Amino acid sequence: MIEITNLTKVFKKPIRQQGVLGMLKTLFSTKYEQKVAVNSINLTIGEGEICGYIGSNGAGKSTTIKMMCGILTPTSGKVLIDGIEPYKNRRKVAGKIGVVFGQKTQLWWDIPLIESFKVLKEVYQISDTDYTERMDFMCKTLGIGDFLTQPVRTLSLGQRMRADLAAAWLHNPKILFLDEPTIGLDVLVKQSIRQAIKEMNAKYNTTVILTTHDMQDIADLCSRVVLIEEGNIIYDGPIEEIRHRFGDLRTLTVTLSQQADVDTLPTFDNKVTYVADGAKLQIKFDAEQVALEQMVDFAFHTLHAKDMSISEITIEDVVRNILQEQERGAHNV
Amino acid sequence: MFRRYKPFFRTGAMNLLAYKFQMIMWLVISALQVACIFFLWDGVYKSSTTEVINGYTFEQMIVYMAFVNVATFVVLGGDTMWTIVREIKNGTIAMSFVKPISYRVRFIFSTLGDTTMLICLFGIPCFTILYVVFALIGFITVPVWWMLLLQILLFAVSALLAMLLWDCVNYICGILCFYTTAGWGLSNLKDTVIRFLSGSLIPLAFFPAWAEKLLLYSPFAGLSQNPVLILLGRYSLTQSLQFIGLSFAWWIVLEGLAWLLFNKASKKVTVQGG
Repeated sequence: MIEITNLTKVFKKPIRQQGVLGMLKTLFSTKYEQKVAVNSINLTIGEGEICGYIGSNGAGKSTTIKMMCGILTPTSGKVLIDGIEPYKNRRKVAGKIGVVFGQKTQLWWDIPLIESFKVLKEVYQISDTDYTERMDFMCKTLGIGDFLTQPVRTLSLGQRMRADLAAAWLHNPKILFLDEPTIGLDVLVKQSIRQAIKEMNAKYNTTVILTTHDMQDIADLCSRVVLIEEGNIIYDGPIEEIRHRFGDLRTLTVTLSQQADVDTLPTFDNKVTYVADGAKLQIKFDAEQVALEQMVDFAFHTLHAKDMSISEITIEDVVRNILQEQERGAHNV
Repeated sequence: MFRRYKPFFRTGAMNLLAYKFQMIMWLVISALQVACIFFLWDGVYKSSTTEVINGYTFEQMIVYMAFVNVATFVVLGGDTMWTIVREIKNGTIAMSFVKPISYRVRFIFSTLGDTTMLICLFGIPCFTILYVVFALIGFITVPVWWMLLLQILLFAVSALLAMLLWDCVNYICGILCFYTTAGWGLSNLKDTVIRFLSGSLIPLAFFPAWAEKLLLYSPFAGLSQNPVLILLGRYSLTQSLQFIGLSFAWWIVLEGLAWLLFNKASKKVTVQGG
């Protein structure tokens, strides 16, 4: 379905100097610096997979996605979508893919949403029966029926994102590229978007490639995770393995009346670690080994916590852990 | 084959209706301009020792200037260049690249929609009124009906080509903005050069003989002067057909150039943001 071999993208940036004088110099200078955004990656994604593509900001996720859908031309290496190179044959690939960029919209700003869908119907030459069936499906799963007659510029971010997902999927593409589809959305909208993606995948066997910063998106949707950092793939495998390797890490942050002495606190057989920062104490533990209840209980009754919050592992934690693990591996060799 | 582009024709036409106010402003500005031009040429001809300057009598000059003004406004329309510049600036060009349509053909259809609307709403009434008024006051000698019909037909074809040529120039300038973000300057340069060289400021006959000859065979003359002179019957049938053929050839050449340029530029594209 999607085959990526030795894909590399290098951006050339003019070196800018600071200040007015610097800007004047830049006007006449031809010096460039090279930035490798994607560094010779290999990846194969099969039909019907939901693949999470994660990494920190600027790791090269969006660049890869843009090459996969033919917007950017790679510096070297290639992408094959169903045997076609997308950046060489944009129009042929366009019918097979649907794209959502969380930061941009493909809807026409000034006209009612329904008109945008009608334009897409003609652009993709969708038959009347298919169009009605898919619109029904999306009204049900994404609830876009409520605001179809409103101009796009009057929609809220959550409504617009749902509409954008619907627009990207209207021609029933084999592959759906979603670049941060849940960015800036509230929990309810996130859930409805996830549910819709799941149903599209189940009912129409749509392959989904998803970038996100939300660990919950990954946990809910993806059977497979690809982790990219500084243009290199550092992990490619099932989500369970990440869980298994790093456990279900939680951080319990509590506020105490005074700074705690970390050394005197119980370690529960070395399963819990502490970081003290003034009156704030971070308690890190694996929820699979130590019961969450037990820790909360301990924080309230033994430590007399005044306030507390629990956070789950973040993408950034996962990246850091994997990098550390690789470093340790390198040292051992 | 072109069914996919229907919505762009439609939105082009609808966009134009959104600019009603701009059209009214144009009418006012244009009326003032025509008045200026009238007095300017009045002065020129009164101080001249001959009645015919570079092949134009005073009456012919006024008729030419009036028609060329309307033709330039009506036929050379569409906002292809600005749409491209906007898409580059806000990054939505990425969305255009993942649609199963040609970037170029999309703009042809949207300009066609825009221009068709403008011609129906504005061009046809304006040309009719001008023609009737000039005929009544004797500035135009009306030919026999079939000749007039032929002139109108040939004008329609050459105006369509002028529109396509103009849109292609706009498209090329838009694509050049992949490399530079100086869209405003480029647009002004393009407008000024074309206005001067296409004969919409003064007839090309006022240039030195060699320059006139050069310009007549360049793509510029086909934008303004030639369609108008075809309509006014100043060219013979063979000449008219020759100029139409020439415009068509130039259009093909420019589209080829645009295609090459786009292929080269789109490999360089870096999408802003996200």
